[in-house]
Amino acid sequence: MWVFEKKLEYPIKIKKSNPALAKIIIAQYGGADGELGAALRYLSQRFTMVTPEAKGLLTDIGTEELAHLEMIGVIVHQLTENATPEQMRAAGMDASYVNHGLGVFPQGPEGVPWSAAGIQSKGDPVTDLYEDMAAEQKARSTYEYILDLTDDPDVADPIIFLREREIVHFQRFGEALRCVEEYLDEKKIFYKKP
Amino acid sequence: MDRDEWLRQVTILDFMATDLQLYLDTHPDDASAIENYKTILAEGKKARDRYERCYGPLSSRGEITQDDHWRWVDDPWPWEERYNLRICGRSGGHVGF
Repeated sequence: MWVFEKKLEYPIKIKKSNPALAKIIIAQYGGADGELGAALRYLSQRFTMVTPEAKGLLTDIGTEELAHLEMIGVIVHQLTENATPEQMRAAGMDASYVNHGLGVFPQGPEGVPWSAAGIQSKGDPVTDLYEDMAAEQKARSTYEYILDLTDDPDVADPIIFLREREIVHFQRFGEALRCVEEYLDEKKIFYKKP
Repeated sequence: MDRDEWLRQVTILDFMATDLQLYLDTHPDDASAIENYKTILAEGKKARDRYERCYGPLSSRGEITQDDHWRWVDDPWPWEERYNLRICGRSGGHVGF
């Protein structure tokens, strides 16, 4: 279970409305390599994970990804909350506006709703951990592309924080993978004994 | 200290705990990291209690400081700009890396 904390993992205070930037950053809310996919991927994979360390890690990183999903939602909300319909249209957000108004909806930058087709839970601990390491790298790349397109320091600051978290998660998943591979090797030797 | 400074303390200590927790997941026998984790949790609890007494609960299971009003529902909420603070001095600085 979870208990909600009435604060963000990293504070977000955006002063300038910018719906065009929101349209890009929504990639990390409902896009294929975004935070919603990350959270559901890890929280689903943990049921068939084999070592205690990796079970704990999937639970804890999955939980942190929910906090990141919240942060991205906050960025999108603060970038659009005072936008007029005309500003939404000028930013290419008119198609989103007609479906969702100023609501934050889990979709990619192309307007495609979030889909579980972009994630995997394979029931194989090695496969899943490799997928997780790749997912962290894909998210890191996306954050770097977002930074390429961002000129507002109020937005860049939390995005830089989130990018750094992807690097830490990648490192931890790598450690968990090494541990899982050692565990599976031991098991193999055990079974081979007559 | 004002609200922003208390909230900043809680945010920093909670982040230290989040980060160290992941480290401990893959290094569960690192005694000095466990010692650090205990210190961070204790400091975090102190900062949280101080904040909650003045500015309302950070969790619905947090300290109840008023008997006739449910402060959990009071504005602001974390998605609101006025809830938040600047955590570091990056404003106006170079953007990108």
